[in-house]
Amino acid sequence: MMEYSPDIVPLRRAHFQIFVLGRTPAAILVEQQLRRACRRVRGPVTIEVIDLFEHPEIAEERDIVATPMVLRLHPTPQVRVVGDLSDPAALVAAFDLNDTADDSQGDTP
Amino acid sequence: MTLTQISRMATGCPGLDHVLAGGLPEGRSTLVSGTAGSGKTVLGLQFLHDGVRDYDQPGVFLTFEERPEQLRANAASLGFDIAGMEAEGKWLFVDASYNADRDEQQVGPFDFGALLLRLRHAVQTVGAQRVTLDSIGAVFTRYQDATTVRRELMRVTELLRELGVTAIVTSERAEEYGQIGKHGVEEFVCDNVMVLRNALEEETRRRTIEVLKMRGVDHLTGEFPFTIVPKSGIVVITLEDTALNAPSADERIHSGLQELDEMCNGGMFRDSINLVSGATGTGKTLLVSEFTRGGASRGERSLIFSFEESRSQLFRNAAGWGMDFAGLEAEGLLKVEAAYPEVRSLEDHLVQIKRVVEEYQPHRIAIDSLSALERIAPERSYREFLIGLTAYIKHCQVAALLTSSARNLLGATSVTDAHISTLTDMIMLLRYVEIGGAVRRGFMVLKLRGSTHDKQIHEFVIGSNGMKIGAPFRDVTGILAGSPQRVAALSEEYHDMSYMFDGD
Repeated sequence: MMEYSPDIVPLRRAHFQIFVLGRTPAAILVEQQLRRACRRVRGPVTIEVIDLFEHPEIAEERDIVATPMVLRLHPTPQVRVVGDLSDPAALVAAFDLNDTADDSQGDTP
Repeated sequence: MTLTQISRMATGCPGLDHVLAGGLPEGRSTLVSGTAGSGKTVLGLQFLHDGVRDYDQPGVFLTFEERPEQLRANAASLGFDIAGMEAEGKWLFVDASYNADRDEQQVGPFDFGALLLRLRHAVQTVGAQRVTLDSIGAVFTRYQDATTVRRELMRVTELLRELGVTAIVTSERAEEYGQIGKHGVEEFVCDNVMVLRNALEEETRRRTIEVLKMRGVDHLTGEFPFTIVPKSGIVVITLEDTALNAPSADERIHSGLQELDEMCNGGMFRDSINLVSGATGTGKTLLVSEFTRGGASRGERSLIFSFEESRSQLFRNAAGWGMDFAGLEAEGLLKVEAAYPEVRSLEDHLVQIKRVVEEYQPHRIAIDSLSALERIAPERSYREFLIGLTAYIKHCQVAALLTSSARNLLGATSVTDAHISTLTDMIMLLRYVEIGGAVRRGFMVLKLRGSTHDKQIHEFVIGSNGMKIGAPFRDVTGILAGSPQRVAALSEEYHDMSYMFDGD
């Protein structure tokens, strides 16, 4: 049961980078899942998809081992999540998206 | 079906290639398993370093554990210049080490696609022929999903195979003896397994390496002791290695005594281990002093480790034989290290000897005496000490004179140390010879590897100018056995003692 807490400020803006290797089913799923979860952000959301096959040097720079990998650049601190984000609840928890009004659950009137 | 010969890639690690009968199987991965502090990372660094230095084979170091800057620093303390190799484009790190800033949560399935990409990219960038992956345990620390990690590690080793590189993969184990690794994946990712141990035995640490399996290829079995030496890294000690792999020069050096040079057909070999055995007072320390004086006369530096006599005793004795040790020291041609054998363990003595040799860079080394060191350690440790010492001396390519005390005053049981005799290039015996109620001294060269030598027993005298080797004993037999007899057929009742020797 979620309750609105007045000291949590709703997310006004968010910036994510998704690192994938080609347009695999997992890569497509990650983007869909993330976009769906970001609907709850009250403001502009930037989602970049970076194909490491085209930019292998980025994998080195960012020390990426596992893919798919999603990096939350904003809000800070940065958060790194690996996996295909197939579990929406875990995705919301990992990126701390719960501070917006939760409309995915059946609210009690 | 045809048997394909698996070729070997020499690691460059002294002694290890001998244990491996040539090197690691080329194009394969070898697991190196060991407890914490057993030297796995050092071996991984050394494998790549020696590949670049000795064989011009570039390497990639994939680290899950220590950061590249830590690895560079550790390697530098061993004398490995990794930064230089990176600058030359011969070495690349792939940094997958754990870092709290890069903590990753897991939401759903993932794979190591990015890591495989980086590894492939790095290997292709430098044209790597060698890869080290350090270590499997750290991957399991970074990613808790053990099933995924196991599957992905297999993909990593498949990629290594596909790339045709020869690889070392390290892994932790909990105990010195027991299962190879603690993650239940180790045996499956590599065909070949080596184990490093750092066991506590009779209150001393003993490092060993063992090749557990090498699929389809030859190797030596059993545990081999090793040490970690500055500039060389891991040095695996094998008996055969001292004879087979150490390069040997034909160059002869002045032994210190003209007559001895003649008995040896031109002197001692430049890189040789020479043993002198004799009862107390026969003149072993004198021979060491002559060896030093002989070196100094050619401008060569000598280093004496004295475990029986103090510095001042040694200097006083030398003065009595007409040698100015203090003067030689002042000129930088001599350094004397005197210590009681009991002050440290044999292993630490070996480390100390190496340290001083590294610092002083002598042309000649003398150790007086091995017998004093023998009494402080169990036989097995002493044997390993000797093997380590002689391997190190061979590695340094210097001439060494080692002394050993025979237990009996007269005659036999001389080269008691069956251990050392096989490790030496030359064995000299100093003997008391009792003839006609008088005690004289006899000198002989029992063995000289790689050269003919005078096999007669010569008389020698000790005077105010040191040692003087004279003519051979004649018509006498049984000196070595301790009961010299005049040969009956040749001797007459009226023969004087003097007839037993050649002229002069």
